[in-house]
Amino acid sequence: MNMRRQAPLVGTILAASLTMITPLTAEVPRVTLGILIVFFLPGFAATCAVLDARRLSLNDRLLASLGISLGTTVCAAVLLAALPIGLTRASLSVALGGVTVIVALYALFRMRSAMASTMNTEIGPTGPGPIIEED
Amino acid sequence: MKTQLQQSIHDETFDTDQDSPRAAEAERELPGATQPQHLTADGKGERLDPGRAWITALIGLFMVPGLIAVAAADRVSVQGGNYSAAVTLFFAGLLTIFAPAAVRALTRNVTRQERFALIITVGLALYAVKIIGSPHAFTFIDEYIHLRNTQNILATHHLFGLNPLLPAAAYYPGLGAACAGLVDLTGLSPFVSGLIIIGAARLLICACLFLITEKVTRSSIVAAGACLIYAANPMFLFWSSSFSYENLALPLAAFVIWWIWRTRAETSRLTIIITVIAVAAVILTHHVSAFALSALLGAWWLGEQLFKRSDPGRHRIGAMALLAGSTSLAWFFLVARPAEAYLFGENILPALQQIGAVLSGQARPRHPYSAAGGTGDPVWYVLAGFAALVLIVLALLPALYRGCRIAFGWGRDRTDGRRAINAPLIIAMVMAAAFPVSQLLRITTDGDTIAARSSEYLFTGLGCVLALLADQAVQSKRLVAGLRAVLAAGVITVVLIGSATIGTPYLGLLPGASDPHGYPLLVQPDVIKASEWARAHLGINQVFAVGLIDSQALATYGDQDTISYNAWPIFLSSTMSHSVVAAIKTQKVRYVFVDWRMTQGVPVTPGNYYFSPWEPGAGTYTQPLPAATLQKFATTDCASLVYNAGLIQIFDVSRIENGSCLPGPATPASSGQVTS
Repeated sequence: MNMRRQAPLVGTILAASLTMITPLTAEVPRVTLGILIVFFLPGFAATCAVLDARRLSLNDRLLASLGISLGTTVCAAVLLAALPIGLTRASLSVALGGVTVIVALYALFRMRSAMASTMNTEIGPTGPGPIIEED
Repeated sequence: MKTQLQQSIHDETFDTDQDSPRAAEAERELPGATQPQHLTADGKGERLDPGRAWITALIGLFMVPGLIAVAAADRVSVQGGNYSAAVTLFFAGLLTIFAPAAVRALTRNVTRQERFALIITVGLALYAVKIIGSPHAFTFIDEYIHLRNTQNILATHHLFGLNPLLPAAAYYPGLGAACAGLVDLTGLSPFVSGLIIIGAARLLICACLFLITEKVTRSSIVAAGACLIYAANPMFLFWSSSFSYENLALPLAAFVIWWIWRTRAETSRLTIIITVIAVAAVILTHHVSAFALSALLGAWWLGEQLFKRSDPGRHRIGAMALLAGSTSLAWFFLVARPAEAYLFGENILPALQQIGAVLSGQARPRHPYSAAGGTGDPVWYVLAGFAALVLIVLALLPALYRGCRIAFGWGRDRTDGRRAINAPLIIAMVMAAAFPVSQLLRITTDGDTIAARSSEYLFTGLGCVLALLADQAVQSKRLVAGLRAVLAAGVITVVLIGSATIGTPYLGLLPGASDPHGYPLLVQPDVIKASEWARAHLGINQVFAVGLIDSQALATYGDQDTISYNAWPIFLSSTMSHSVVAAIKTQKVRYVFVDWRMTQGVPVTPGNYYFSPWEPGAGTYTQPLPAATLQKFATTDCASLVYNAGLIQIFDVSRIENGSCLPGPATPASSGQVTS
């Protein structure tokens, strides 16, 4: 169950890492990863980090992923073009991929903390508490 | 007395946050809100009903023949066939795309999810109409402006490269930078990358508008109606689908509003950081959208401040309004300095002056609702625009009354004696009420542009308010409700058709013929070819004097520094007079780009001019330019012909520019058209 909830985030980290480290020459993976990193992955990671998945509808999740990703891409692209480093494939993929990986890792950390906290609440720090029988 | 909208809420499910206790609590605090209703006995709930999903799928499929009809109409036009018949086919295609989906989305017995899916599909299908019209390259004037921005960033990897088509646009680099980034990352062309970005933005604004309206009115029928009415604004079909900075910024601004609303109960700092990033993206992309977002956030904060008892989220709205307002003003006045002259000097002030002149009787009013300044529009085309306006105005008064009942909670006192006030709905009503006022601007040429562009903003509120009537209409017995849904959808469809005639000139509705007669509305292939030749043989960033339409291709395909707005003194004289020489020298013009189509027809662009709205004949041309105005370059010894292909010529006038050659005594040039 835990793995199933974490799988999309792990996939996000892998895809973002791939965008950063691989100089893709094949068209299909390059276009696919490029579109994902611009329109989906940063926002998806941020949504997971900010909002509880159980309280989000699929519409909300997809919409937030698209909106945040577009906003992040605009800001990152303008910022890079304003800096001496310039806006290039390498700089943008590292910027967007890096942000995505960091935020996704934070989301994973939050998710694990929340799970641990839930388990502690359900079981208690030293196991199940005494059963109080009702009269 | 319980209003019908409240009654409708019993039939509707709208709250996506129903699993969230905190969000639900926040919802309950909203003034003017009624309690959310969840899944109802007849299954009209949030989730897509598998038993009825086929209807939505069928309506989606029904859009395909509509798009095929639009494609066929475009093809007839390009091949030089019967344009009137092609326009009829085009509107038949639009009807097929829009009307069935509108009926279904406004039908009472439909799930919220189905309405949402229909709205997204309609939005994307109407976007496809624009793509079908220009499937190979950008063709709209503003698209060339932002293509040049993108090319500059791709070439230099940095910002603020000169954009001769619109210098102010270079200082709002959000769209150009995002597109250049997508080009870098994917290897796709700027054209395809631009289409994908604007397509994503179209999806974003449709979804955000639906969800925001649903939050404001608490009805998915109103939300669907609002989106359909928004899609019927004059700019939605073509202008809002073009590769232009506003078409990215406005969806991002809608996203900011939705995001703030969606996360107002969240305490995470990352939520605030995301909001700031989204606000910054709007500010970096488009000036007016940034101002509109700031104003809307400010009004929202003020409304909640006045009408709401307590809500911590209100402070965040106020903070974001302050941030957006101050930052967008700072960027506008300190960084994007040419934008001030563009916005005020070239748009707002001339419009105000023209209105003053019309009101004082010094100038005649322009014929409103004639998109091309009255040039070549058939009567039915103009009447359709009037019909759309009349329908909107007729519906507006009862809609505002109904909005007041809901927003101010008339006849709906709460148990604690306080009236529930829905501040966001009041803001929507103010925007809706501003729409008829904005239409007064259409009596002037410059005001017409402002009125048209403002509709993109005002229709967000107008749609929300008018859709209250649609919601009211379908609250009755099943058969009557169905008929009323058809009627409401029919009215919105008529507004869509009428608005399309307002927003687009008759001759600009379909792509131009491959061999157009007269002066064309769009860039022609031979101009692109000449531009590419100039880039290859003359080098980039040469200063060209050129007509407005041709400057788009020359600045992008040719990568030249074009002068169009101030080029009219060079072109409109019949002789190489002192004023022509002076204009060439002061503007450092090295080449003159001559398009002989100027002598074959009057301009059909809005404003009716070849170069700029300030040229002497602008708005009044009844005859094309005399051939002598262009022939003079061939008859002077100081200009040399460097390119000559069909109707296009390029003259090197650098010897005039550097003063090494002074044209002889002025002699009227002989007329005649140049052949290749």
